[in-house]
Parts: sequence; C-alpha cells; structure tokens
Amino acid sequence: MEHLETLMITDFRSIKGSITVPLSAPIILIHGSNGAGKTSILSALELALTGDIAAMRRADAAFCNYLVHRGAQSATVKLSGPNLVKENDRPGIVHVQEGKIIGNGLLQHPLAQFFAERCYLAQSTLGRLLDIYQHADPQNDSPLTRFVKDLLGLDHLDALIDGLHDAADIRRTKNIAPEFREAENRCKTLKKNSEAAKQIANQQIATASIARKEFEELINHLTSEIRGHTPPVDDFAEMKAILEYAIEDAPLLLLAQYRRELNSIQKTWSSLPNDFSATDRSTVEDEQRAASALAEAWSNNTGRKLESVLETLRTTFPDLPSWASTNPDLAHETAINRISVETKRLAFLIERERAAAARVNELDKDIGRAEDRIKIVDDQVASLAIDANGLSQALAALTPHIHNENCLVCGRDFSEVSPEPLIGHVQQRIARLTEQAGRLSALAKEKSEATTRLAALLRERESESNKRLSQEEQVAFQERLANLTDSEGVLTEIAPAVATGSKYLHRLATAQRHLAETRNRDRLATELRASIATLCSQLQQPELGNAEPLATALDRLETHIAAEEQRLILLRQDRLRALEACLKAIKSEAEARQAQSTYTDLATELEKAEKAFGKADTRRTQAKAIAQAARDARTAIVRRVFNESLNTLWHDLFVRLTPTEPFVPAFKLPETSEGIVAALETRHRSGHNGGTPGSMLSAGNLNTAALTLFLALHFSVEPRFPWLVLDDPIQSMDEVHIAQFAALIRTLSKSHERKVLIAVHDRSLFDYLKLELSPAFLGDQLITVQLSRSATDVTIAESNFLTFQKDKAIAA
Amino acid sequence: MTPSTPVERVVAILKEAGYRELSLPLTVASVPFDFAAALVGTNKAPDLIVVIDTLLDSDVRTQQKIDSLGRALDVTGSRRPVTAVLAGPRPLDLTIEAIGRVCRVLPVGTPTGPDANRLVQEWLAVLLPLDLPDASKAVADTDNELAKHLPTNLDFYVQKAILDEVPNGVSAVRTVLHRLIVEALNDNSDDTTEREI
Repeated sequence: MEHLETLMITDFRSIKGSITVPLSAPIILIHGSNGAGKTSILSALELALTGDIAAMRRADAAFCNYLVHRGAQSATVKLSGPNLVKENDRPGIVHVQEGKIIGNGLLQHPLAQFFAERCYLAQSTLGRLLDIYQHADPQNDSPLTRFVKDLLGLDHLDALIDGLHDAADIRRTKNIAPEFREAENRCKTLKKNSEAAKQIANQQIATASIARKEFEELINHLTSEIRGHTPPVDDFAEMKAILEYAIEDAPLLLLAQYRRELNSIQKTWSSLPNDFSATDRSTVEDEQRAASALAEAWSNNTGRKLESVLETLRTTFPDLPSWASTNPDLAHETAINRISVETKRLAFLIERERAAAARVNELDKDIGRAEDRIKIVDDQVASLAIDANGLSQALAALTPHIHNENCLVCGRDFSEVSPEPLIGHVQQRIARLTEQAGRLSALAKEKSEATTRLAALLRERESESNKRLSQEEQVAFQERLANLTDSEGVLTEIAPAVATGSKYLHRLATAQRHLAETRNRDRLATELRASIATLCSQLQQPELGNAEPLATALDRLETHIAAEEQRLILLRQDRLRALEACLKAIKSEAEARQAQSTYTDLATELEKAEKAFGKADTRRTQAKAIAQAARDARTAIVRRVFNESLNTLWHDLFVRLTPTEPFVPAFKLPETSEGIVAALETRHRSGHNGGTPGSMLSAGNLNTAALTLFLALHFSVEPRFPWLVLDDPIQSMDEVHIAQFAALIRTLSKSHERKVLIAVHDRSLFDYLKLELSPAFLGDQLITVQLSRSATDVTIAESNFLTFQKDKAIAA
Repeated sequence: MTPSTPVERVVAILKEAGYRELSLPLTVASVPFDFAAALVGTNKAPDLIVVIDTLLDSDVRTQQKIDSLGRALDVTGSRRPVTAVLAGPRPLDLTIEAIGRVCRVLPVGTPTGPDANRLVQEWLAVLLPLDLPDASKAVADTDNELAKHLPTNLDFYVQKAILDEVPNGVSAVRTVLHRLIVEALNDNSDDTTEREI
C-alpha cells in the first residue's frame, strides 16, 4: 500500500472545496488550528480505505448525515496511486450524498477492520480507549478480550475447553448424555436390588436352616417308628418318600377290624337277655316236657278225629291244610268254611236242574208250533212261484213300444188271439203281476219272522238243555251233599276240643322256643369266649382267664385298642408333621437356592453395568483431563504471551514516554474459570500490583497509557497494513513527554517501517516534530501539510516535501 | 569494565545500543563544547547525545552549555535531534524545563543498587532500539502447548477421537464426547483395553 500517492477530499466535513493530501512519504505531519480540518483529513482517509468511519459510528449512528460539508451537495474522498487508476468502478473512491455512503473503501475485510482497529487512533477514541477496550456487555467479549482471543488464535483450545465443558461436572455430563444418567440410575437400582436380593437370599438360607433343624428334630423323634429305617436326613427326597408312606395305616386298619370284631362281640353280648344267668334251663325243659305231653295226648284223641275228618274232606277239597302243619283252630275253621261254601253251591246246582227240565218241556211245544206255521207259508209261496214283480216291470217297460197289435216278442198279431187290444192286455197282465208281487212280499216277511222265532226257540232249548245235569251228576251231588253235612256235624261237635288243642300246641311251641333260645345262648357264650380269646391273641394281650368275666375282658380289650389307636394316630400326626416339615425344608432350600441365584444374577448384572458405567466415567474423566490440559495450555500460552510479549512491549513503550511514572499499566492475567477476560491494571516498577490505570495514573499519563496500549496492540500483531494514523495524540502531555513521544514516533517509522500520519494542532509541537522527524538518510522523506482557510472559507492545504540533507554540524 | 560513574554507565548503555562516542571536546561550528560525553546515532538515528555530569556542572552552567550547543547547531542549519542526558544529582525542575525547550532532556540521576542499570535503561529507553515481539510468532503453537499439558496416561482411542474433532469446532467436540460416553455405556465386551481405530 506504499504506492498510495494522494488523498483527494472534496466538501467533506469541515473541508470546503477540494484539497489533495500527498501520502507518498513515510511520515506525514499535518498541522492546522482547531477546526481547520485535521481530523476531517484522517477520517476521510479512513472512509476511503474502509468505506466507513468506525469512531464516528461509535459516537453517532447517523453520522452519515454530517459528512457532507455544510452548503455542499455531496462529498467525495478519493485515493490515488500508480496501480489504482485502471478501472472505472474502482474502490478507494467514496461519495457521500444525502446521508448515504456510495462506493467501496480500498480495503476489504478483514484488512479494513484491521485498519480501523489497529492502525487508526481517532482523537475521540483516545480519551476513552481504556474504557472502550474493557467494556463488555454480558453477551459479547470486550474489544480487548476479542483482541486477545484473535491474537492468541486459541480456537482449538477453546473448542476443546467448551466442547468438553460438560465432562468436567458429572451433573452436566448427565444432562448432555441422558444415557449416562440412565446408566448411573441403573447402577443404583441394580445395586439396591442386588443388596435386597442378597438380604433375601440370606434370610432364605437362614429360614432353610431353621426348617432343616425343625425337620431334623421331628425326624429324630420319629426315627424309631419309621420301620427301623435310619433316615438319610440329608436326602430330602428319600425322606419325603419315606414319610409319605402311611406306615400307620395298616395297623390302624387291623385295629379297626379288631374293633369291629370287638363291637360285634359286644353287640352279641348285649343282645343276650340280662337275666340270662337267672333263667333255669331245667325249668324250661320241664315246661317243654309237660306241654309236649298235653299236646301229644290231644293229638292222639281229638287231633286224630280232626285229621280223620279233614282226610275225608280232602277228597272234595284236596288243598285243605292239616292242623299239624298249621294249627287246629285254623284247620278247623278252614274246613267249616269250605264245607259251608260247597254245600251252598251243591244246593244251587240241584235247584237249577229242576228249573231247566221244566223249561225244556215248554220250549219243545213252542218249536212244534213254529215249524207248522213255516210249512203253511212255504206252501203258499210255491203257488206263486214266478217272479211276478220282475215280469211286471219288464212289461211296463215294453208298453211305450206297443204301437199296434203286433206282439213285440213273437211278432204275431194279437188280434188273432183276442179282440182285446194288445196294450190293454199287457196292462191287465201288469196289474195282475203287481198284485201277485205284493202277496209274495207279505209271505216272505211272514216266513222270515217264523224262522227267526224258531231259531230263538231252538237256541233257548239248547241253553236250557246245557244247564241240565246228567243222572250221574245228580246222584253224585246228592251224595256229596250228604257227606258234607255229616262232616260238618262232626266238626261242630269237636269244635271246643279243637280250641283246647290249639292252646296246648301254642304252649308247646312257646316252651320249645324258650328251650331253643336257652340252648342258643349257651352256644353264643361259648363262641364269644373263643372270639375273645382269639382277639387277645391277635392283640397280644393276656389270655382270657376262666375266672375273668367276659365284660371285664371286653373292657380290657376295648381300652387296649383305643390306646393303640391313639398311639397310631399320634404317630400319624407326628409323621404328617415331619412330612410337612420335610416339604417346608425342601421348599425353603429351593427358595434359598432361587434367591441365591437371583442375587448372583443381579450381582453379575450390576458388575457389568458398573463396569460399563465406570468405563464411560473413565472416558468422561479423560475428557475432563483433556479439557483441563487445554485450559492449562491456554493459561500457559496466555501467560507467556502476556508476560513475555504484550506486557513487556507495553511496559517498554510506556516507560519510553514516562520515564518518571512509578506505576506502569499492564494487562491483568486474563485467565478465569470462564475463559479469557482481558482487563487492565497497573504495576509498580518494583513489581507489586497497583490499581486500575484510571485510579492510579494522572490524566496525561492515562493518555500515554492509552496511546502506548494502542501501539502495543498494533505491534503485537502481524503488520498486515503497516500504517499508524494518530489524531492529535499528544494532548495533556508535558514537554518532556512530547520529546519522548517524538523520539518514539521516529523509532516506529524509521526502525520499524510504519507509515505514520500524525495530526497536531500545537504549532511548537509541529515544529518540534518536524525537526525530530526530519529525514535521516538518503531517500527518507517527510511531508508536512498545513491547513488554513481562504477569505471565502475555502480550505487550503499547503504541502511541503522535506528530503534528507547531510548534517554539516557534526561529522558523523 | 564496570561503569563507576553515572556518566560511564550512560555511555556504556548507549554504545551498546549502537551509538558512537564522539571525541571530546565536541566541536560544532568551530565552537568547542565541554560535555562529559557526546555520542551520535548511526544509520537511521541521527541523534546527537550529550551527557552532562551535574555533579561537576551547576544548573546554570549546564543550561548555558545546552543553549550554546543549540545556537551552534542552528547556525549550521543542522536538523540533528539533540538529547541531553543529565547524569548525577537532579537539577531543579525549572532548569530541566528550560533545557527541555531546547532539546530532549533525560535526567537519569544517580541510580544505585541492583536495579541501577535497569533504571538508567528506562530513562534512556527512548533512545534505545525498540524490541518488538515477532508478531508472526505471537500466535501460539497451541497443538504443541496442548501436547505438553496432556496427561501421559490418556487412553489413545479417546484422545485421538476428541482431538480429531477439534478443527470442526465446539459442537463437534461435544458430539464426540457424547458418542464416546454412550459407546462406553453400550460396550458389553469384557475387553478392558480400548480398541484402536
């Protein structure tokens, strides 16, 4: 950019008319009284270079409205140089019209920004520079901070620090990676569950142990009862099988059977009459004998008679019961009744025979008469033997066909036979035939009646004849009737004796029954003793002693069976309890195993989850370590750059201008936990810290601090656009400082190749600078521009080119 | 040689900075001037530096010498910038102010103690070359710096995965962090060592 030759300005701000400012020398010194247009020239340069005026924009956003000189229509700023005149629409020419900037600055971004920020120190900016640099709103970095960041180029480290920010804190990590939170929660849940499962497993194991102990106690108690088995207590399955076998069932069944037998014996025993022992068997036998004698005597006498009668009667009534097979009363009564019935039947039969004989006689007479009458009717019918009725109807049917005398049958002429006309003859014939037909009909009716009557008579006779008895029958009936009457007489005669016989026989039967019962009882008692003896043997009880009463023995056995049953029932209870304990132990052990398995599974899962989580957390920790390393690296860089470069430079620059000021401004170490926040402070030359520049420095030195800060920043970066444009920077400086400043500017220009534009308003300063900045070697140049106004207020810029002149005063 | 007087100290510093010591007495326009020392800049710094030992010269005498030098230089039309270094007891402010109207004046005094050299250098700083940092190197080598601070026991896989994403910015780093964590959570292998990419 050194080839920029001139800056032409027309009607811009306080410049009226057109002026041309030469830019070809390394140093351009501009002088003018206040309001002459020094600042206008510098801002015109900024506008031509960047298309904007940052310092003015900062003060007033509507600054464009005030760029055109009052009274002019438009303003123009134009840069020219050897390489800038080629194109028509070239940058570096900017118009301002109606409050609008038209055209582009010569420099593109970021060079334009570089110029505005690092090269051009506007007068209005200088006083507020420190404030401006440090001002930061909450959202954006302060310009100073921005500068520091740009300077350091820490994007990579910032990316690490910010990107891994969440890894530093486990809560933030959980927020950005919900999986991490879930994994942690899962670990917690699993741990909780695992501990719970462990507790449960321990409880189950304890429960199982208790169950086993209980079982062992019960089984030890039972051991002797279990078939002499030595139980393999550890083998629950075997134990269960043994205990499930109802060992007491068979004995109980047997006992039940014995009990039934015992009950049966007791029942039999109790069925015997209570006076059993009191009843005398011989008395019964005597009674039986007496009764037997009476019965036998009766049988031989009345019994025989009765039987004889009955025997006789059996010819008529074969089914008559014998008294021996029933009893005399019944046999007697049955015989009487049968005789009575039979007697009545025979009397009836005989009477009916007599009536039937008389009726047959009458009927024979009536039959004779009926046969006679039929014979008369038959005779009369024979005389009228033709079919009168049919013939009369045939003739009647012929009459319509008789139209003359010719016979319809033979064709002969009837008149030859009779003078009577044929039709008349036929009609007479029909009349006669009809008469005969009536007669025949009446006769037929008569015969029918007679025949019916005869038949009825014959049937009645037959019926009556059937009722009649034969001669033999009549005799037999008469005889039987007589016999029956005899028998009835005998029976009536012996009726009292029969009654007595019945009593005897009843007495005998009772006596015999008593005798039988007595005998039976004796037999039962013997049998019961035998049964009881068997039971005693079966129950392994003492035998039945001869003197031992049966009842006592029964009670003894009963007691024994009850005791034995009780024992077996208790055994069953114990066995079932042991079985229950066994099942409980089996169940408990299974549950314990299950709980243990659950715990093991959970523990394994927990271990796995914790491992994964641990791995993730390790990664998080490593990311945190990387972030910390990045932060450390940034701190190290920042410290180094600030301590070794920036602060040294600023210190050097500031000290050059204010060798007597004990407090030197410095960048505060800008590393905070939040990142880089650049701030300013002062340090005493002895090393300890002071306050902020604003509180520690005088106005002049504060100004110097700002100026040197600007220069330090300018020199800290690559000189992409090696210009320094300073607008009246020496305000409030005393003369000593001004001399120092002049020397510094010379150093910057001559030793560090910066093109320097300085505007000053103080005349003596201008002269001093003009001297101090004089060209020092061949080819060196200094341009001075003096601004003034004509009578018509038009701005006049008087340029003066100073070149190197060899010094004659001192032979250098 | 260890400087024994303030003047010697000043001369030594200036000579080291490239100034050439002129033979005394200094003669300008045939007028000899009696200064403790006189030096002139070489190359692009044509400064004339005169050193006055205020222990030997009174304030008035000092001022007169400077004024005379100024007039002599004016006579010859010299544009050479002049700096008067006042070594020894500090003159009155009025004297310094008066000299200041003629040329640059640096009242270095008589610094003693371990910082003496530094204090003199700071007074003379404006005459000394300005050491600028190498602006092109100001941008730190962040990668090397980071490498120095990284723990040595880092998992190579994690380190590489993260550092590979650095050029892609904050969100890429954030994404890879998330990915690494989720990946570890979902890793069911019993392998305790990290896989290589």
